[in-house]
Amino acid sequence: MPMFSWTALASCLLIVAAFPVLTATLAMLTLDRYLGFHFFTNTAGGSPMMFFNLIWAWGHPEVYILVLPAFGIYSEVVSTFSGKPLFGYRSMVAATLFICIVSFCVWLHHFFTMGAGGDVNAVFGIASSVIAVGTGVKIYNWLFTMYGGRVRFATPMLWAMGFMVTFVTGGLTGVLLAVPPADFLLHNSMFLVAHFHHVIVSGVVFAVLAGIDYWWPKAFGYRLDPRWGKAAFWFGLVGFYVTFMPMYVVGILGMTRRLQHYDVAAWYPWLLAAGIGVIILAVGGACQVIQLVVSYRRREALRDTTGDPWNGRTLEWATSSPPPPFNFAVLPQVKETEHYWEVKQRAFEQARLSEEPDYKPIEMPRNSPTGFVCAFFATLIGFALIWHIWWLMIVGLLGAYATFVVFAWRDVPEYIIPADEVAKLDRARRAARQQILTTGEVEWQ
Amino acid sequence: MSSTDSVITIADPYRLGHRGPNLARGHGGGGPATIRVIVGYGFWLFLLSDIVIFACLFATYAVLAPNTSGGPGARQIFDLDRVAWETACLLASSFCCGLATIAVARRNQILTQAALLVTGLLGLAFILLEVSEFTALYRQGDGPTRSAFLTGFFTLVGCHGMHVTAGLLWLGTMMAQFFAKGFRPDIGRRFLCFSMFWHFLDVVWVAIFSLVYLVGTRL
Repeated sequence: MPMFSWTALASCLLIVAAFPVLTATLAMLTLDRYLGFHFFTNTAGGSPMMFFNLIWAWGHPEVYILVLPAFGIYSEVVSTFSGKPLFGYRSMVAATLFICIVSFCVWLHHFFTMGAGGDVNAVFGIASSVIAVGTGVKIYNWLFTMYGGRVRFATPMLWAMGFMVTFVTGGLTGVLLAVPPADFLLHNSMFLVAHFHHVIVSGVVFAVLAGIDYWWPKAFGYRLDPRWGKAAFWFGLVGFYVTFMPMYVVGILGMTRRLQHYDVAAWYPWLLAAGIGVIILAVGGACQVIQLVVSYRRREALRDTTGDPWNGRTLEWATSSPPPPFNFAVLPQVKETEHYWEVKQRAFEQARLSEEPDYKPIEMPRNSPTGFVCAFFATLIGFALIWHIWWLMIVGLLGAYATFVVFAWRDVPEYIIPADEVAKLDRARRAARQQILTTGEVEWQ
Repeated sequence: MSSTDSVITIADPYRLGHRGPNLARGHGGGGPATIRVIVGYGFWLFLLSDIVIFACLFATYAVLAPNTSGGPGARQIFDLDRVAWETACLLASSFCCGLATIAVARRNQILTQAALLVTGLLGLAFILLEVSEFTALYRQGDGPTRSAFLTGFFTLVGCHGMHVTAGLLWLGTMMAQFFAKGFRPDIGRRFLCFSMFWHFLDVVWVAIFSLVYLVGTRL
């Protein structure tokens, strides 16, 4: 299984286990606020600290729900642009699942100052430090994947390398915060704000931007402009450091978070620097938007005709760009970790594609707007609850339920793509591949 | 029936979800599992996530149970006779749901409808008993706003009751679908999910019966 699939799986396991906690917590809070219940109140025996326990029992796994798929994106990007299989595949899987489990054992580090006592704090402090081991394994694996490889500095790879440097330093400040005595000094300070932006921005935001650049041609059929992409990366990286590094300093100087104003002269230069950093970041964001516009305009020049613009190693690059609705005309029989890479090398050696398969009709699930319509009615319910518009809430509830019943009453859940059409689409894909083989030289981007 | 089967076989070259039940062993061999297995597995995942919600409610109840804030405690308000009747109704209802599963497997419309009707009536009896318990408490001023203990109690037990109510709605839809559309494979898969849901509510109730009512009256 590709590493991105592993990390997506681990992330989904966390979602199934963690989000019901948020559902329950929000339900309790709603009952408290709307019907006068006593879950988190200070009166009648309620427990306010229970809210913090519950919200972070969801909230800490949530940061790993964010970052695990990001780690998967980096794994794919680093392997592809280093021209090597991912180093330590099995240890990468193990580290991912280790993080998946331990992420449920660290939530209390969000409130060491609650007063749970030294023993409890020690347990959660140690667990919080231990979880960094899993991430450390991953960092080494990415480094060793690059080592000895022929690294191409495409935009996704730049984001991945920027991430590796930035995330390690951000993680180190996290290990510092995981030490309860240090946390008593740093709790709720700008040091903390700097830390979580440091890891979330470099871990998740960089990965999302790398992933957009990497898979855009697969999804839309044309690559994104590399010059604007690289400009976005450099402004983003520099802007990130200029914005968030000064926050560590003002945090140590004693600035707490969420201040409405301040009158400490010593903080001023650092906050000014952070403000300039925001401007640089905004320029990076603008480059990102311009990149999309420019790429759309130049889409013919940037067209990905082969379906494999990066000399990819995983199966999605075996399809055309964008892929047909059924993805694969014939279900691939995967025997090795890098199935597509092996098939590709064999095709190059023998200078011909594999035999044309026997095409058959394919059954596909029909598209349905049910999810979208239900979400619309659910939004109405939320809006109505916030503003106490009770009739609208009932409309939303009935609408969502009716949509669901109509969907459940459907008779034809699938449609069939005839064999002729499957053959036509797949032959076009094979023709593009054949052209690579006959012309010989390919210029991988 | 056999003609639709052959159409599906042609339309699904990899037999994704149309394989016989004995081929997929869960070790990569035999190809993808049947749709019935996939649907059932997905519903197990949903039930697991629902169990997490109940786990949160059980945990908060355990934390809040001693905080009666001058109001009544578990000993004063729990009526074990009524709870015994509730338990009997719900367990008997699950038994009838099992009978319905057999009737569905035999493609017997009358038995299916009858078993599902009794399942629903027993579920309704359970709900009515619970509503009578809740209204009695509320009338004597021991509603959920009285104390943190009652907050936790009403929410945990009420959440289970809401699940049973939603299950009754689902049960009605299932009866209508069997009646209008017959024993189609997709309706059968939905019934599989429904029966899992109904038995799952029993499991949660056994936990509520033991941890809330029995432990509560012994403390």
